[in-house]
Amino acid sequence: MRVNNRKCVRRIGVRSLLTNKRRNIIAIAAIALTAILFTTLFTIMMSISSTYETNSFRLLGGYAHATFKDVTDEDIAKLTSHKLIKEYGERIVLGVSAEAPFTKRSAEISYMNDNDTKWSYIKLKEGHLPTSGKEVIMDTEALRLLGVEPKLGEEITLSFNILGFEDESAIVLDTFTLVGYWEFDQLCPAHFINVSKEYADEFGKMITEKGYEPLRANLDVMFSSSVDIEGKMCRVAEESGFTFSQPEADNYIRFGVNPGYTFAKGSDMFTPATIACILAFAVLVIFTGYLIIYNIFQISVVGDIRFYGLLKTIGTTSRQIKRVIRIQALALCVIGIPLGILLGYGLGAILMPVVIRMSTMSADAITISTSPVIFVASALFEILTVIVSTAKPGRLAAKVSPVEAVRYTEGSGVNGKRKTTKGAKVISMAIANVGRNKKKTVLVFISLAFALVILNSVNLFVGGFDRERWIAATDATDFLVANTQYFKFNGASRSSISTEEIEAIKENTNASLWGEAYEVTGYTVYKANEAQYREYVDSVPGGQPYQKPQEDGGYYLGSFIEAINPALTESLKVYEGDISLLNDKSGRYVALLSDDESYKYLKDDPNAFKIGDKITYGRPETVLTLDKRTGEIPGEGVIYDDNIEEEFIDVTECEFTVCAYVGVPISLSLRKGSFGKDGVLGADTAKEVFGDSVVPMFVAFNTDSEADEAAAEQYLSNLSKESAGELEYESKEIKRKEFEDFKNMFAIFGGVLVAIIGMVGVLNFINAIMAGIIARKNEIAVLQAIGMTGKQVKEMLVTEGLIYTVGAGVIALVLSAMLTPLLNATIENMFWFYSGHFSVTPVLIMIPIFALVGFLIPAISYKGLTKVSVVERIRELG
Amino acid sequence: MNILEAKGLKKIYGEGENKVNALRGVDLEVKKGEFVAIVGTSGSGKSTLLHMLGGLDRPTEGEVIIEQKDISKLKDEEVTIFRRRKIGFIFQAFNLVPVLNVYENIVLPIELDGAKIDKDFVEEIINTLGLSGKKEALPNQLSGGQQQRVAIARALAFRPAIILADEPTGNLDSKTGQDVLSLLKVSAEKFSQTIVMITHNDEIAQLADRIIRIEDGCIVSKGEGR
Repeated sequence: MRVNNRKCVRRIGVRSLLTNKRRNIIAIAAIALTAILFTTLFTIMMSISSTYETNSFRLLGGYAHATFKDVTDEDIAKLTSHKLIKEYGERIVLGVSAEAPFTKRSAEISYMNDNDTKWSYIKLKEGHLPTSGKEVIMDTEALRLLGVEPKLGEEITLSFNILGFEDESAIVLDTFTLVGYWEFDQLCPAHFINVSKEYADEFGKMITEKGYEPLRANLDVMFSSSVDIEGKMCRVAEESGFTFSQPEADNYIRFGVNPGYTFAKGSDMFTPATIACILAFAVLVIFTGYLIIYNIFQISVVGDIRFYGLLKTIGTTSRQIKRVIRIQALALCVIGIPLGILLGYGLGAILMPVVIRMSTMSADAITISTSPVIFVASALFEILTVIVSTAKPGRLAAKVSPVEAVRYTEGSGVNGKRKTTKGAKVISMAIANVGRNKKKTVLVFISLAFALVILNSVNLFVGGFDRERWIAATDATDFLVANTQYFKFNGASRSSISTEEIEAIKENTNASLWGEAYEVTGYTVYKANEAQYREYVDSVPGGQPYQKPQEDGGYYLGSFIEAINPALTESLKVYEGDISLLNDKSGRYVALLSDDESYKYLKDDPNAFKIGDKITYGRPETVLTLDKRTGEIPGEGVIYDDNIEEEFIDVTECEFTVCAYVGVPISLSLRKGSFGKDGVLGADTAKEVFGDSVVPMFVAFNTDSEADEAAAEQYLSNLSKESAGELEYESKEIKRKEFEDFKNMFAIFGGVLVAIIGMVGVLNFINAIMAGIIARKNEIAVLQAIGMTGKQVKEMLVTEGLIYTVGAGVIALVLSAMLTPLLNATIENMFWFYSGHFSVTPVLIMIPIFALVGFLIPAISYKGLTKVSVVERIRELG
Repeated sequence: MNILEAKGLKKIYGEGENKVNALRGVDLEVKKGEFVAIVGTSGSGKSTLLHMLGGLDRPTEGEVIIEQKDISKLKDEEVTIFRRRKIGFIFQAFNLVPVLNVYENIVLPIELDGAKIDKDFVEEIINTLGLSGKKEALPNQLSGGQQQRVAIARALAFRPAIILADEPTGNLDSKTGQDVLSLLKVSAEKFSQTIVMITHNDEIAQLADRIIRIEDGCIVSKGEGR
């Protein structure tokens, strides 16, 4: 039966809502507070994701959704007319300069249209985009490297190689006029040097005349949303008459999806552990919200029980009464949720930098997400909390018997006798009053105690962070200097820290121990037997090119090789064997890498090398990965199956004897690993065998005195600044700061959480006390009429308040003490730098504060009560 | 025709030592259009009887039949819906919904049912009860007599099968009480309604067509139809 009675039920709900101002204010505050927690959580979650995106886009040089590669003007016209493509950008790369002064970060000379300029994070500080002739724009750091003042109209001579050609004859030299520049972005992968379309066209003509291939453009595209970019690209390609799967076809087109969109949404952000944490937090917030919202509604339903009984006698069904309650709750949500979301969003935005500081992301990439997910999810979670919390009070109101309702007073459901002959003392009356509505009392106790227990736990957690353990474990030496790329887990390359830089650092610091580490760059491999090869192929996710065995039956498998000088061998953790042999000039020795976990399984691994075994490492000059079907390099998206073959050319090979299994402290390692057999060589041996491909990666050193340490810190700090972000260093001092930051992050988050849960607890208490006083207005008036003085009434009410707050404090004290061992064990398991300890100080500090609250709230409420005379209050009875 | 019938109604509260026999087997018939007064002292069981008749409470034994329907067998929600359609209640304490104005209070049972409001009929009731100037007023802006007139209007508005009045004049002074009751009687006649009223006031009871006396949970006199 479908009846149209919604309007009238809604009217009753909304009108009766307006009669209960105190409850509404407290309920709105409670809803807002819990909504703040949800919104803060979601804001931070989504902002981390969007910051991660921005960060990746900047590292990748742009935020276009995807790119069609090497297209002609004709192709562009065909592709861009497709309806899925919302916007497009065009970029034609003319050439690259990787020579001085652009050795560390190469410069790319190209034409970009307006969209592409925008999508490459180029925001001119001054000037305009190059429009004609030899106009050029570039970043401030490129200008500095070229020795040019950032001033419009400056003449700049650039020399660069035609794209794809490294020989002398392909070098172009030309002079340009600076028409604009922008602030350099540390994260950008290259220096973009942009020229006009006119110049690009002429340049293209010029090189074709010289016999080079004509220039091709890259077409960057944007769709209406970043959902399923790959699928859309396939559709656009196919429907525009191209193929992306057959490289040999005439209409073959290559495309790439901006990996920034796939990483950020990828599973690495939201691991099961993270999701579990988020859910746990959500449950915590729902629980906090439940404690108060349930209590508020429970109390108000009991207070209005006659009203609901009356509605029932008139013919309001249980379901309609439940709706009345639900409407009231949702109406309060309408005010509370937007308020909470607004505040929570602000709070999340404020807290974001604290989170980002703890990550490898750049602080200036912080992007506060504006995703609707934040607001929708927060609102939904809050509504869920409110609905869950008001369900039971709703049932209570619906269940009320119309006859009973008239007689109902708080606590009348409690049967039994009071066994006392002591007479009515104020204190015993107060205790009896607290016990009247057991449910309400219990909830207030839990709510208050809960805040204290969380406070204590946060303090326990943060207080147990052990700085010395953190530093000892993360830093093997006092100082470590390397190229920024090293700290970004990119290992060493030719543009890493140079020998000159190393010498300069050595000269300017007073080191007691001097360590240098190198990487054998290029595609280093070890020679595996059939079984090792099979195991390797199985373990590499995403497929692996097929390899035909070498002449001796072995296979080349990618493996990293780190080389260290003797000073650093001391810092290795030796599982087995003798590492002093690494520095033995008489033989060629290698220490294989392991760690605590994998070393345990080493004995049972038939494919593992044993001490004394021979292992062959190699470094091919070139590795060709070819698609046997086309004889060409496989395009993107091609599956690595047996059709793809790897060929190793000009391999420098050398046989080493395994002298040890070692662990390298993270800070001294390559900060990356392979699926092959990574090894550590002595620096001299490595140089002897692999020659120039052994490139310095970092220097790590200790200082003896505090003065030396401070001096070195000062020197490196300046050096890092002067290098314009190329050189970076780690030091004990920095680790200490990092540790403090890390600790502060938890302290800040814990603090916010405790503050809000605490406010909820106190609100709950205020509501309970005030509602209790109002519900007993007549009763108290009667007590006064029969001779209780105002002072005694106040005393009784204050005693009630103190029972709540001090009682909750004592409960929290006991609970905290009981929980501490469990918490210590759990946290120690999760955070290796945590040292378990015992502390209930925060609870002890809070008890007097709670006592004050327990005194003040009833005292203030009583004052409000006395504004109305006893006679009037009695008369209201009935 | 009997519009209301009670057969062997018994109500026992409590258990063991505390057992109270509020009703000890009450039989009662009310004809359509009758105005019946049930009188008795406090504790005689008259309120309990009215609660049973109105489906506000369930009898321990026996049945209550209104328009051929045994309401003691209905489920809670069904009783509620039956009550708002078939029974108009008038209480001693008026029991108006404080947040709704006079008009809204009067039409509330109809609206709760989702039925269509017969505006002319409601207007007529309002006029009959002299409330036409007070439609927008909230209950706390009315005098006791006015509030009870609103309650009467509410009871009549849905054209119920029967109106049950529980000490309708109990909270009013005797002059106002008389006035209100006359109005109730007049409007009941005008809209051909059946009324069962409880009271402890013999003077008020005299206005009824028939007086039923109840003592100690038993009917002692069924009175005579006039």
